[in-house]
Amino acid sequence: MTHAKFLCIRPLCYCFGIFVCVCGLCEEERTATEWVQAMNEAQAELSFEGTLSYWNGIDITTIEYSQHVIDGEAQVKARPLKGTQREITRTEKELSLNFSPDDELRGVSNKLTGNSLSRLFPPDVATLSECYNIVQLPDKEIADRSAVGVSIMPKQQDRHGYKIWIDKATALLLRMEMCECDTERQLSMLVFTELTVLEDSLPTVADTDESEESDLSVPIVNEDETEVSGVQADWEPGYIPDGFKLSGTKSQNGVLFNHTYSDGMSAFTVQISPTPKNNNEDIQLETMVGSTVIVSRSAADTRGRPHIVTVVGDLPRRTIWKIAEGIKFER
Amino acid sequence: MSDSLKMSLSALVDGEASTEESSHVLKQLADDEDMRTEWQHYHTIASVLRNEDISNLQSPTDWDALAEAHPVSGDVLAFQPRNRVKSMLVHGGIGAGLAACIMVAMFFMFSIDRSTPDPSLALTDTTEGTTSGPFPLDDPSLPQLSFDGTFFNVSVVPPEIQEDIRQMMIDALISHDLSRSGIDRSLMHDASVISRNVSREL
Repeated sequence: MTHAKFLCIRPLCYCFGIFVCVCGLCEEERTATEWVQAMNEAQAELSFEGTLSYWNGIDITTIEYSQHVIDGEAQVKARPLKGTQREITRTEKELSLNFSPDDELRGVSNKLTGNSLSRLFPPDVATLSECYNIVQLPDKEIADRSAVGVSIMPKQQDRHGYKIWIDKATALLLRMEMCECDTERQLSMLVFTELTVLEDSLPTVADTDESEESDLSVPIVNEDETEVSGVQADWEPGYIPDGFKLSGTKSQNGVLFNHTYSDGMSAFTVQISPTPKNNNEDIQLETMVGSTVIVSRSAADTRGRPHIVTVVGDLPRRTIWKIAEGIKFER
Repeated sequence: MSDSLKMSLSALVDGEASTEESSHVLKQLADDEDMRTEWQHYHTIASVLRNEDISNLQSPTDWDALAEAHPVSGDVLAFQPRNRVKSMLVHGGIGAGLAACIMVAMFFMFSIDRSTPDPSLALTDTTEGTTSGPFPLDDPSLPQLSFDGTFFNVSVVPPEIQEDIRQMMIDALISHDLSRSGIDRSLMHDASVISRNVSREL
């Protein structure tokens, strides 16, 4: 090799080396949005089990949580570690609940028999970025795992913000906090204290025990929006915060009963029912359960019949009221 | 009692009323039982603001005689005439006290932010057990939300439908939880369904 050739090749080698390093770094480093995307995929694709603590604003509950993905379909089981036994089993097609004899929800389950859920709008990070600023937070050690933090704060103060920590190794969710966007006051929190990622996705014998019939079983159907709009009720929301879309409906014995709207992080549900005893009084009620706000108000339909509009959501009070007051009756 | 008379009475209590004004108020006091009660009220407030003992507050027994005597003697009442600065402080104090009362009342009437912790609701693990390993939520700095399940009645609900409305709200809440768990596959709402304690929370 002549000296001239060596002088030409050496810069090319340096450039190649730098290129390889940059590409390597790019592969290692994800942006905050990419972490959220990776988390959504991991939550749908990986099998895991663990113990999590959930604080709903009032109490802390410790929950055994497991997910087994078999042939691409996730089966989730969750039950409290101690106390009143209430078990939830969720597959792609069904949500089942089992209650202990002393569980107060046992009575509610009778009323929910015949319910079905229609899924319309899957959460989507691209949509999420329209309404939230997604930025990275300092890393943390959670459940003996190194976790990357991501702040998902709303661009407008009409909804709450979130802080999540994602396992660096598997991209599974390790911790999630919901907080007020202006004060950053925590409203609810979920954190894994133990987490095991399962290589073998086959559930244990206990998990596959299907012999017991569940106390409440709600089928889940994937539908497109046009099918549901065909059986649309005689009302529609006059105000929906930016980015919220109809994510699902709940029917009872074929009758459309609830509409749930979601922006991928937060959600609210609208329920319209005839006013009991045809009462015409002006009713406006509000209560909070944990971080969930429930507002009920009276409204007359186009024929003057009194109805109760109830809006439930994990949103600030002012937003829930605005939604409730914006419900319009048609036809 | 007119506002102008109230102002004159206040000025008298503060020792700021003119001779003519004082005479007029005293004559009114002699004739008007309500006004004498008001005088006692003002006098009590002024005494409290001056850190005086109010247990021995005395009212004149013969207001007519007082009214007659007043034009002759400018200092017939037991009131302590105060200088302007002291008077301003008293007025300012009353004003500030009233403003504080109004603000507190407004807060209780309109605030449903409920950020004040409810001491009856301790931050407890409802699963009645301890977790294995460190409990990351066992943090005294963690804010406790006071959700005592009280309905914020913006309007009065007729008693005959109160229970029906409450049941509607519970149904909507459960439906919301189920929708979020089943449709959104939200891990947080799986946990929410598991831990929901309707009778306690609503």
